[in-house]
Amino acid sequence: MICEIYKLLRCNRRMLAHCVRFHIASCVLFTFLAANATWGANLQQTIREAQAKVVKIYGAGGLRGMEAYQTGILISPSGDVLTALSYVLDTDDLTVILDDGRKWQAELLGSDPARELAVLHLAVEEQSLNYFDLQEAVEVEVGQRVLALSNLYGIATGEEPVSVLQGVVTAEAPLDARRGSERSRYRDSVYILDVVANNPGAAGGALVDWQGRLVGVLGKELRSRMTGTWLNYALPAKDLAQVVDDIKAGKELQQVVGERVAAEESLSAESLGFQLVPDVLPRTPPYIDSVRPDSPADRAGLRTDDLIVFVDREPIASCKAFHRAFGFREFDELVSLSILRDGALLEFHLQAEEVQAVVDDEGEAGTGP
Amino acid sequence: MRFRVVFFLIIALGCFSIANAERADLGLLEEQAFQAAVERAATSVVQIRTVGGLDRVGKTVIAQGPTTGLIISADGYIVSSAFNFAQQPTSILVQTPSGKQVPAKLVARDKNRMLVLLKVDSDVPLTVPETVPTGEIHVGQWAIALGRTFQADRVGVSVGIVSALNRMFGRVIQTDASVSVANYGGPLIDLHGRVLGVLVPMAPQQSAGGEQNELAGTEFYDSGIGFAVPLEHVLGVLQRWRQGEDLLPGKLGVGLKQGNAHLQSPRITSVWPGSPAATAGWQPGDVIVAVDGHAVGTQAQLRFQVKPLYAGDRVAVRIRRGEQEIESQITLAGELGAYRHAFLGLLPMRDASRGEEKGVTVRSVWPDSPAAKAGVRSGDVLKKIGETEVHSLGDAFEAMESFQPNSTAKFVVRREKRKISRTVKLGALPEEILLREFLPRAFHVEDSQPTDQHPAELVPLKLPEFSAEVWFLSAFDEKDRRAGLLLWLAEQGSEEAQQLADAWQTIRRRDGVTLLIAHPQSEAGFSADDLEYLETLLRTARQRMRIDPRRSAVAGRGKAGQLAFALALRRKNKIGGVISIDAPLPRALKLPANLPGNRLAVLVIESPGSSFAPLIHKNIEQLREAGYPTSWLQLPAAVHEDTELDGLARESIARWFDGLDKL
Repeated sequence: MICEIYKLLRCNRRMLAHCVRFHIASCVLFTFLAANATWGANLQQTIREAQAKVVKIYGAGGLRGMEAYQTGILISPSGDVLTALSYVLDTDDLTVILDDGRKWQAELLGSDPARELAVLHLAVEEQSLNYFDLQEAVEVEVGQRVLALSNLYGIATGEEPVSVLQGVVTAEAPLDARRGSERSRYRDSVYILDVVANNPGAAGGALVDWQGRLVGVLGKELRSRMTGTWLNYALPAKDLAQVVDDIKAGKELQQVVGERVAAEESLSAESLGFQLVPDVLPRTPPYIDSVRPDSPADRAGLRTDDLIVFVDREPIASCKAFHRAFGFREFDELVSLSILRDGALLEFHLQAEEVQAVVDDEGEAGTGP
Repeated sequence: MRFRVVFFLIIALGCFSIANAERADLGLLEEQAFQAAVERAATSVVQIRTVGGLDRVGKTVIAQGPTTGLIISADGYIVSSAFNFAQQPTSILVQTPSGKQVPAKLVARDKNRMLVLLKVDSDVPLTVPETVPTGEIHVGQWAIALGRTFQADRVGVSVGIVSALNRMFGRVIQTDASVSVANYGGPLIDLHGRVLGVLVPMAPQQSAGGEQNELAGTEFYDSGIGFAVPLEHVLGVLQRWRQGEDLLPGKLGVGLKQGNAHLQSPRITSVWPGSPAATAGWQPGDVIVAVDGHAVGTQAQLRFQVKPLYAGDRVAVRIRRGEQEIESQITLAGELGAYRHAFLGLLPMRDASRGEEKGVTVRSVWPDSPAAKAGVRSGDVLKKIGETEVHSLGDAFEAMESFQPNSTAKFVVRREKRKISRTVKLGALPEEILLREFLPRAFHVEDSQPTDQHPAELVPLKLPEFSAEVWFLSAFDEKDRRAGLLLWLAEQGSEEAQQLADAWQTIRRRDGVTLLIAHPQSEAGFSADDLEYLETLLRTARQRMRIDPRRSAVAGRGKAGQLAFALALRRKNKIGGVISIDAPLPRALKLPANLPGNRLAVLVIESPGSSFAPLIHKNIEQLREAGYPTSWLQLPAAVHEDTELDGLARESIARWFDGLDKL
């Protein structure tokens, strides 16, 4: 092929070198492209197709700080829409505007109180809507590029396509967030994003990868309890098919998702053989007040005036936090305590004595020797 | 020719296919590059947890989550953002990449670039990241911000570009990657996983809480404006930093002419006593022309040369004095002694009389002042201070900035047809409150409406966005006359506002004081949350009325008094006085340095049996030590409400207020 070009051109060597370089480069790239044929062959096309599956929702609200609009995604060809559960839906006059400008009155089928998701239905006659198939939702990795599609700030109206923001996935981590001082009720993993995606009106929007595949649903505005800053995040879509089925079936859903469950018979300081100082302040530092001789705590080397700072790497700032953390652990669980003693951090691993021993103790206490 | 056409055609085709292919997989290749870079640098990024310390710094609640640090030496030195330690934790714990939790020691802070240096003991050598030479960093290159807040076992990633170099007067590079608490202290890396810099919040202008405030700049989080201190710089100072001494911003010890920093030349208006500038023999009027061989034509250019430097750094500074140029070797200072304003001993007339030539007419001479000793009289017209011609009151205040208490100054007054020149030793701003006999009227022009109305006609002032009630009582009916402003923070309702207004009715007209009465936003009374609203209020008042900033004071009792302190110390350029009744300084407030340009006088009022008395007395000492003239007024009886101040106390406040524009 190169020879042909050479013959054709009969040009000088420098020109040939140019040709060859270009041509080899493009050949290599073409091969590469073929291998990744689906990879955003045309980002514009991908965005356009994804936008067609995102709808604008108008309902209650309208006061300052309470926008009367949000976003939703079509999840069936027959008019099911997944969106955020919010005050916006709290009206009989709920309007959904499709990407092509068609307008529908929506019916609320049901909701998930913990995930704060709701399913709406549009009474479309033909089964021809473009939609995201929740069964085909994909997972993404940290650092992977994503697109957030939503009607944030209500920029798009009528037949205008929703806004697209691009960024990467910052982290996949449990949602530890609050609205005002109230903790969010969904605490499982979410995708945290490096793009300011969760602004007013964005909730219920789509997070897709650069191939247009659904990755997540944009959440409502929340502040991180870790950083105190506004979070940009999306609920992973991979689990939502079941959730939507449950919502549509009218099943009663969990009020809180991802909450740790209390132990049946929980671990206590007493069972390990130490006592904390009396809990008298709003945040009493969890100092050890006394250690029972020959107890697991004593044998491990805990001492009076040791300050507990971590229980299994979870920071413990107060006596209350300590008791809460122990409340999640079973009686006989191995637990590691991080202690501050004279400025040095020490690690201790403890396990309560055999259940038998404690029963004996109690028996003795009850009947006397 | 034909060959040529074909050739171009093929080139064009080649280009086209490349463009197409690039568009197709560049995204994927970039994404793979991001992930590879992150992986390379991640082993040097540690998670930091702190234990103990404050819950709040100022009005900001400190989140208790983990923060990020960057390993910079194999033997355990870690750099992080000062923000992460603003709460002054009692213990610091670092989770090393191996997953081990180890205690860390805070070795020292860098108060110029808002970093901290930590040290951990590690039995294994830690992974030190590769550094990008600062000279190689260029705008537009990929930049990835890493943090370890959300998860301990994986770094958080945000991708952007380098948006600017040499920001914040040459101290940081800027990126549009998302930078927030989630990655302060973490690295900004390039596409090869090499570290460009350490992420920090930084305020673009001199922030309200002072430049050395750890929280300054946090409001720009995730905004597309993030900053990183080049790692090369950090490694450059490590040798010095690890000795354990805080790195402080280097200071020359000069005051410059106020105005637009990009237009004004660096002309010295004042020289701090004992400062490097004083040691070098610099004088007011000298102009800085070069620093280390770099010519500086404006104050902004001077800042670019000096701001990156630390206390202890040596620089060669060239100044111009008249025709002469002098070069001095300067060792920059960290802390300067308190600045004190000089005092001549005059009270000025506040308006020009008709047909008067330019100058400042003496309203009254302060008893026993340098001016009194030099024989100045009321009605004399001040024409010159030092080498500065005085045309207006503003000129006179500016001229005084070049002097210190105890320095010698020449001044010229005109008395009738005669010019009188005197040389005096200047004093410090007096703290006593003048008797009424030394305070004649300060205005030539008479009022159009000399009688007062009862009750006083309070006018409501509406502030957009804020719900709190605000009232004002104008000093003059004429809009063009410049009035003083007394902002009274009143805890109780509108009834009290009316009583206050009635009580101040006569004083405000006689002394030309507009009374502004502000109520708290919340029923619980004033709190630090009201600062923003009060600043907006001051701004609005200044837009609506002609106000003399030197004669603007803010007053309050108890919690409102603490807020008055906070507001006045934060906005010294707009407020000349603060009146606190039974109120100590806010606990979390760091007393800012007294500066030549902005004068602030304090009036501390104490009622008998105040439980804060010991604290208040300590505050008076602190304020005086920092260079703020602080007057003290003891009330005869306890006050429980602002309206209970008797006529005598109010008159004393008025006399103190009337002396705010003394020279």
